[in-house]
Amino acid sequence: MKALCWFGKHEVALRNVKEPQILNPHDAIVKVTSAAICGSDLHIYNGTIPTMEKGDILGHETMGEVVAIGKLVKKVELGNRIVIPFDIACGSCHHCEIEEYSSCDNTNPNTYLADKLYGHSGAALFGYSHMYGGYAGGQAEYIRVPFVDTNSLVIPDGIPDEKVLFLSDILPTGYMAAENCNIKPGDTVAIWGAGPVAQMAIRSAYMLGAERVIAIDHFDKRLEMAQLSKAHTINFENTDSVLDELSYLTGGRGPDSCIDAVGMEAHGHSITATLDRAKMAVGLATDRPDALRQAIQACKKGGTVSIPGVYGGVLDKMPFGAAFGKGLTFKMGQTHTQKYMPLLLNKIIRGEIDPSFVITHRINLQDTPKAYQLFNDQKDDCIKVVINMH
Amino acid sequence: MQNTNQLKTERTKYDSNALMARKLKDEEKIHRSITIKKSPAEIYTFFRNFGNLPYFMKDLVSLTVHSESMSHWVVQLEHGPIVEWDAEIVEEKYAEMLSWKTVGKTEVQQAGTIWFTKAPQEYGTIVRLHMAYTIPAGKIGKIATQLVGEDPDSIMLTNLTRLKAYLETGEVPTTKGQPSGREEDLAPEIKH
Repeated sequence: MKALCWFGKHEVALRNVKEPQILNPHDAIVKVTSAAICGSDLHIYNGTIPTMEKGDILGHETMGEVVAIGKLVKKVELGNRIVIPFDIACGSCHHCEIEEYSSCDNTNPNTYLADKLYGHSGAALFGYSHMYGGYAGGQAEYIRVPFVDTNSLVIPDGIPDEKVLFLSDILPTGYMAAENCNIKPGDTVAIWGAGPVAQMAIRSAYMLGAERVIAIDHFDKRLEMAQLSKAHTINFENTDSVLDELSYLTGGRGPDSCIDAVGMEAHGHSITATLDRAKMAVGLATDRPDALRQAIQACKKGGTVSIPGVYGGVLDKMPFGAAFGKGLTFKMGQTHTQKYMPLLLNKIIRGEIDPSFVITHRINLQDTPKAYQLFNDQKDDCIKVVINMH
Repeated sequence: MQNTNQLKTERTKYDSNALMARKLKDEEKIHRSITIKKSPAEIYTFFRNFGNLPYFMKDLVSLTVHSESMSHWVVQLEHGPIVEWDAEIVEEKYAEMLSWKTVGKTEVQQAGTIWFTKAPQEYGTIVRLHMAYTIPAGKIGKIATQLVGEDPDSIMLTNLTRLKAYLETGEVPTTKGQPSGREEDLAPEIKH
């Protein structure tokens, strides 16, 4: 089968690889019908995610048809059309039982790597480094899905792939980010970044009762898309001070909650952002957290900072004094995707949200390497790429 | 209070075990624990049936049970040679603990105890493993100290993690045998 493989910084290519087999009794093999490229795939593309190995198959936003199942699979059946969450959960450990699926104890065969770096390992992820389990991803014609009864959402007939594909990651991630804000009626939520997760977070924040959502980015196309979701927008390239603007817009109080939907590779122009870029370039820093610094600075006293953006290492120059001085609450982490998928599928079926509005590019697998470059360089107003597989 | 006493008793037990282990020359020590969502009796029963150990133990090639207390172990280290030893169970208490030591001549002398104690709330059981062992000179010693994740401490921690996964889910997670774009994994028709 053809699969999109990583070979180094800015090097991804299609390879003809062996098809996946059932390796464990709770596995399924899925013939992929649609997959997407995620903003977090670009962290891998840019070489900022440790423990990647040459030849790893990428992709964690995947759906398709079940074509083989292991002998202990109970719920999922051959022929089912399923969406596959990006995080892999066992469904039986303590964390899975309390719906903290991305903290699953049992799915990562390489826990010792994450244990060393993070203290404890979280759930394994598809196509996202060996520290996160080294599982082959879904930008391929077939994918093996461990514990498929837990790691799947069966899609009823008649709903097109594009409407439900993003249940695999960005819709639950945006929704959990908004839920983590503890939104109360009348609240203002500020979101750094207006990429696909932010677009989902804007709509989710309104669904959860926010009065106003403010999106901050510097790509016009993304800001236009945010405006279509009724967000107020700030282009940080055209604004003297994002912090002053946010303060002005909220009567001096600051946003009630702030979402950092940017993560480790922020593009800011502040002194700290420039320093981050220089340090990261020579290997002295792991992350560029300028969006997070601004979010902490902007947030109202007693407010919440919610972080769906991905961070990997040790952060420099965090304004922890500001966080402490204002008594902020922090909520973050990989999304407990399995917890949110059924709820959000219902919202899609009821017409409350159609996440396909973020798609700007539809390609076939052959064009995937080019699409990575396009997406990474922010050319051609690229916001979200969907790969039609068969 | 009861817990403190219990811990004290176990500490004494461990000390006597350590005394035995101290006879080993240049012994290294392992202290590791893990929480498993099963009862102490379930875990003890699974573990005491040595026929179950190959289901989760890394690198274990074969385990032959000779009697109630004697067994023969053959381990093939991932990047190293085969090592063998005879082990004797020196103490055991149903649903509580199991102690063993190697007997006779072997390159990897060891002594260990595993305890099963009920965890708070609904967490299941805390499994604690204490081991003392010698790192032999020569080839195996070199492997044991040089390869990340393949020293005895990491191997035993991995084994505890795999025991937990097997008991909680019914399988040990793996990626061995999955596809990749690495040369050795490419589809045969385009290899040459």
